[in-house]
Amino acid sequence: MTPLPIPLQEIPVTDSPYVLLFGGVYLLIVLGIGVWGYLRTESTEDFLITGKSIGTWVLALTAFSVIQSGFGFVGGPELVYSFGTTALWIFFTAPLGFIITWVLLAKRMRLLADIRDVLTLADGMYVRYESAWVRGLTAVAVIVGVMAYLATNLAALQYVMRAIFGLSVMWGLLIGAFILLLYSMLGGMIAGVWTDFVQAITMIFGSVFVFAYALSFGGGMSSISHNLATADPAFISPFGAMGAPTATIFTALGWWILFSVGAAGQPHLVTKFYMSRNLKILRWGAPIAAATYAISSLLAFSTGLSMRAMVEAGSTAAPKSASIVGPVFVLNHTPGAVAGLILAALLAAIMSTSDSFLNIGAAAVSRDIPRALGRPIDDDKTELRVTQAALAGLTVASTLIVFYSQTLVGILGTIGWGFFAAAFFAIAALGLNWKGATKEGAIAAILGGLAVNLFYSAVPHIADTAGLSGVSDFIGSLYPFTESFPVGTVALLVAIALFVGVSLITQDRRTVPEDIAVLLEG
Amino acid sequence: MASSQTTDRGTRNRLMGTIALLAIVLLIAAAVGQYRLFSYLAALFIVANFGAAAIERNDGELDLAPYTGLVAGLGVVFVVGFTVIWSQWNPDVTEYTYVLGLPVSTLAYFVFLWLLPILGALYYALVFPEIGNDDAVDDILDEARRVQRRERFPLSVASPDPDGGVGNAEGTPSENSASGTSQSAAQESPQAEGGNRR
Repeated sequence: MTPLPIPLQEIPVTDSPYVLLFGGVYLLIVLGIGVWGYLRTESTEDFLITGKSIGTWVLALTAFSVIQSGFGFVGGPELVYSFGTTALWIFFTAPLGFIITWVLLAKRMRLLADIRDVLTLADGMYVRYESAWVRGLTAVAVIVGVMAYLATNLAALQYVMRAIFGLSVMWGLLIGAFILLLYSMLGGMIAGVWTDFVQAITMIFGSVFVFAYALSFGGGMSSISHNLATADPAFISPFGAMGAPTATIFTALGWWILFSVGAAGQPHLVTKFYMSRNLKILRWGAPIAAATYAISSLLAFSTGLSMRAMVEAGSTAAPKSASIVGPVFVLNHTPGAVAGLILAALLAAIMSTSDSFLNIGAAAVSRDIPRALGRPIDDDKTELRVTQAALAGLTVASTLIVFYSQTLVGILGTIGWGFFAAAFFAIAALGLNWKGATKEGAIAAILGGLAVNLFYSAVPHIADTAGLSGVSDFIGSLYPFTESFPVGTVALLVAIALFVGVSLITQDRRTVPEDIAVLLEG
Repeated sequence: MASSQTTDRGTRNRLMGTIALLAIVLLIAAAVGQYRLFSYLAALFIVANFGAAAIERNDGELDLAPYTGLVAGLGVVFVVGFTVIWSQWNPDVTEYTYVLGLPVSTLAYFVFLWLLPILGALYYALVFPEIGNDDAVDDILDEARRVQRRERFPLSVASPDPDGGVGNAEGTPSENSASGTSQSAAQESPQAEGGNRR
């Protein structure tokens, strides 16, 4: 969900034949799906939104997969191991996020794709607000967010490739990025949603197995709870042990808002609604996505708490780093076949999430920015080829960033879920449900959300990197909340307030396109 | 008529204004460290956002149909959940009463803030026919296309047709439209201006 924690260098290289087998089979499946997707891709609409071809299960599970990224399998256990139940306010909140997203956007976006010829989120915002500025800002925010997610995911991919195939980190990065590029560029979103589907199935089954092994390893839930409470009662409290009690409560509640409401601002999730075969497909998507996510989140919950409980009880050695709790648990405490399944799922999670980001990022470069500048590519075949070229460019750029600059990866790592939530929740989820929203409100929300995120997250990191700790300290002193209160939540709330406030002030001068008004009233 | 529209707009604006106000109050509550207040406000904020899905559907009345049950249900489980948590736990608690292997306050989180809200997805699926039935979808698309035949919009799917019908660049019905009826793929016209309304 948020960028993967880095580094993952310490994931041990395994000699299990199952891990090699599952990892190898997964990559072959991915390439096969890429070729199949290529044969079915004839237009930009096919490439970006599958030609509106997907059914209930594929839609629901691709939605699940783009949200349950590698973070759920690596960062999740790490956070739970380190801070107890605090992190559950991320994972256990995600199902609620699916419901909000479906209620606010599923019908609106799917019908919007029938009423207007929209292929991207920026297209949708353009026809809603009739503003090239809104379209351009949406595209720029998508590109920035996509580069951030891609860099952090590729940084993780290189270590997962090393763990599974025993490659050096450099070859892990290059081969992993090449395979990602190949199937994404060939198969477009048709390949993307079907690899998401494979990932989801792998993750769900793997999570159930790991949950059972983790509970057994910890001696059952009661034993786990008592061991944790003996070490620190806060570990198993409703809010966990992330720091000072009040700060921890605010962190947890901040995540609750951010990962529920903020889900409807994730472009890689909400654009999936364009892809459904028809509106009825959307009916059961929310229950399937919510339930499967709830099942998969048991992995982070159980491995993190169980490992910590057994370490506190002195029954097992502490791992070298909390960031490898998940992978180490499955490698050391589950059968080889389960470990193979989970590491293949981790590889799948990283690649499928990256694929979705590549898709929306490439569309922003080839379609949204040129159109915002009044220079659309009119020929569909040309637009398709430019989109594929943009996808290749984004992959190469992200690979070079990871290869040459861990510093830049770290800075980009400060941009994640909260960045998209603040930029897009108000303008998309509220704007497609309220005729009173205006382009001025939308522009204020995007800029306000970006400004808060960059000022409180990225700028201090850049200042620290540049040796200007005084600057980051000064910015920190301007943050009126507890230090761990999520900046993304602040940005989201500020963006919503700006969006509504500015819209109320400016709406007397603004109207809604009449066909869009019909959609909003329906 | 104009008076009715103004009233409708006022009601919708008040609902959205409430969401914005809640966002601001949440920031203030976080800044002053009122975590119990913040928890209930956060619950209200999340529930209010669900309500936003219905504000244009019901002619300006405070009617959240078809999501009334969802909004009320989530509101109740969130309030009950936090009330149990705050009655059983505070930052000074070091001893727990366990049920099903978990402290009661943590179990309340699991039940009321994680598991029961997932049922909201089922509620959505059950009321879906009210928002997504064929008649409702056809009404929306027919009306939108009627407007598009009269006026030209950017990225418009339907184009004006001299015969009064909907032009279709492909000349064949699209199988992938929500209604299953035909569409066309008109080129985007940056200069296009369409009829607008509030």
